[in-house]
Amino acid sequence: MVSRQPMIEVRNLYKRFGNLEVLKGVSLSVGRGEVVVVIGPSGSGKSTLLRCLNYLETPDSGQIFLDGVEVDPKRNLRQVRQEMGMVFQSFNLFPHMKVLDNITLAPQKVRGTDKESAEKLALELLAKVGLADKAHSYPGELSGGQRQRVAIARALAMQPQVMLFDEPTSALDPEMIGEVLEVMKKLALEGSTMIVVTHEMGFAREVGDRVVFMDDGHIIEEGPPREVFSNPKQARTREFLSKIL
Amino acid sequence: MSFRWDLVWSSMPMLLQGARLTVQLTAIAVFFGVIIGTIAGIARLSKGPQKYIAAVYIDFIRGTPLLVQTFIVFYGLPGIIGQPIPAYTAAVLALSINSGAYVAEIVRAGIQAIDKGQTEAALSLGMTSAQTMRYIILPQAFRQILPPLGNEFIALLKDSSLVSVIALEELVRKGQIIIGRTFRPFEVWLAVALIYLVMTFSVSRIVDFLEKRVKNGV
Amino acid sequence: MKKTTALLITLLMMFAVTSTVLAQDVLKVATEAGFMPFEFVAEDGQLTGFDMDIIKAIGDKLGMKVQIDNISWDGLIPALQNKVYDALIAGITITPERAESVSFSDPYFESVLTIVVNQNNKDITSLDSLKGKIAAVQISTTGDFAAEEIEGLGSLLRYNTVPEAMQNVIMGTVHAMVVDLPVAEAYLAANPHAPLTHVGPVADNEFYGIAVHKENQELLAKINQALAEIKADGTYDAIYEKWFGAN
Repeated sequence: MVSRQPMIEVRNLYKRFGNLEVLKGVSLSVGRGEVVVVIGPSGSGKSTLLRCLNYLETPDSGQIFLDGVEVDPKRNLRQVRQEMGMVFQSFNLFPHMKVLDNITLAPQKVRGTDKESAEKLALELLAKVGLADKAHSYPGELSGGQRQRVAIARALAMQPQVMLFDEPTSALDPEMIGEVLEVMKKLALEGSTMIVVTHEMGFAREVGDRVVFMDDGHIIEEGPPREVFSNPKQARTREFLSKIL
Repeated sequence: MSFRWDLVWSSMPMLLQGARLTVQLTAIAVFFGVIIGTIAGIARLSKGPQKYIAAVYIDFIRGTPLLVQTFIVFYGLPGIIGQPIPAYTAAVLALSINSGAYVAEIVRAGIQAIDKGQTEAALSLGMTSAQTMRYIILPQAFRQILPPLGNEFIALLKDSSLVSVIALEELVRKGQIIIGRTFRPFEVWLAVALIYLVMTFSVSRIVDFLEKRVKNGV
Repeated sequence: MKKTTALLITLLMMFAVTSTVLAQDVLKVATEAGFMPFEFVAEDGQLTGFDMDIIKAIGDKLGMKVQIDNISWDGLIPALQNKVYDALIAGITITPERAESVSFSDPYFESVLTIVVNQNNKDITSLDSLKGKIAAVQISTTGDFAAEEIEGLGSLLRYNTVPEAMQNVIMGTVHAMVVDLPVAEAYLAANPHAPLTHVGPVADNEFYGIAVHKENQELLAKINQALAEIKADGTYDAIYEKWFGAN
């Protein structure tokens, strides 16, 4: 972990859906190269927190900073989104395009990269996630685990500063979870800054630099995984962990 | 009176002439209708003044008879622009504008049927709304809306008979002319119906074929 | 018997008698009321015109009530053939082709075609002079058949009704309309501000007849008889003078 200014800083975020307050003043700091794993029961607001970072949800109040610059939906949202790659629970690959095109589309249309360079990078990334031979397949032909790995490659193709993972393995059959976690572990070891919302405690323990426990719109507790898992300070943390560990 | 098959056959050349005009008018109208409808459908889903303009257009056209719209274009519009509009142009205009409103609803439904996650993925990669629509949403929507678009084509094939009121000699009109001379309505209308059947059936088959091709390609 | 039952039975009998009596006496006629001054819809919504007066006069002579329906022009003969109506009176010209499908009464009016044009027109004076021009007609009328025969006619636009065809001459989408002369004169008189005129007789005289189903020779004979009577006793002349001035 580095001591320069945080890669991501969230200050006092509030978000409600109708009458339901989902984020009740959440503040968080993520350092460069840090892997932060966010855990908590459903409805705790952890996905909403993640989706506020790239403004897929619009916070009601609070501030978000990327590398020291405040995220302003009116002025720099597109640039911010280019620096934040997101991997979704339901993959969201573009079914009408080949795997290779899925990956090269945004670099070409958003960053203006030429086709050759985009494809070169895409093939490298596909090799990295172990799917070099699937470049010309369609998403429909792939298994869930393969699709998610392609989704990771697609997000990486924009060479973002931060990778956001929203329950990346929750929709996968158990036998495919491992292959995706392997890729994520690889990224972590390379020094990527990652925020991962997940239920995979093994991953949190092995790969996470910090675990953040959320409940009912608040961050209840955070710390190194070893500490939080073996020695939770808060009662609610204890309660949650006892149910899942 | 006995049924005269020979009249059915002898009417065919003239009726087929009319059918040609029917197909021509319908094809042109659907072509423009898809362009207008796509714009209106997207506008309908957007935020801003264009949303209300599109809504008014769609509601007005879907809420008034095509016959009335044809009369407005042919008899009403020249009053506003100060010069007559040829019947063929008026027919293309009226049919296209009519088709556009129905296509708009088809397109709107098709776009809304696309999973929200597709848009979220595109936006999260930094694409603009316009890029998302162009590369991600519309291509997928269009594959889905082939069947309803085909139905719109078939509906328009049949509705196009209305342009006979401005003296265009499409299929039904040709039938009327023959009856005005032979006084054998049953044989003539049967022949007309058969030709319509062939046209609409062909369109259905083509739509089915395109659907299969699209399914296999994706 | 209860009072109500007795009343009901009386009413039923009255209804049966009246309807049988009435049923025998109705002459069901169809026309297309877009043909001034022969048949058209007056401002009060009533069907009126020369033909309407003639057929009512014939009905009187026959001791029959005349019931007239206003339907589309090219639905007339098919409806007659299906026996929906007993007779048609609609400015229908007697032609050999039509006479193959229906029976016509003796002629009740002598007419002729004319060409309606813009009042500034100088070059359209006859059917042949329509070469290269756009002509409007009402579909399946003698005007339609005559225009069809013109060699080199620019194009022939067939409209459902006379007013629609006239409107197109006014609008300038067509150069001329070929139509029966009395009808042209009646429309021009009714629309004095329309920039139209007509060029006078352009073809041989034609005759209007009342159409009946070929199998209804009995009715045909009766109609011809009645027609002869109203011509003889001045009724016809009175009607003619009402619509066209002195004969």
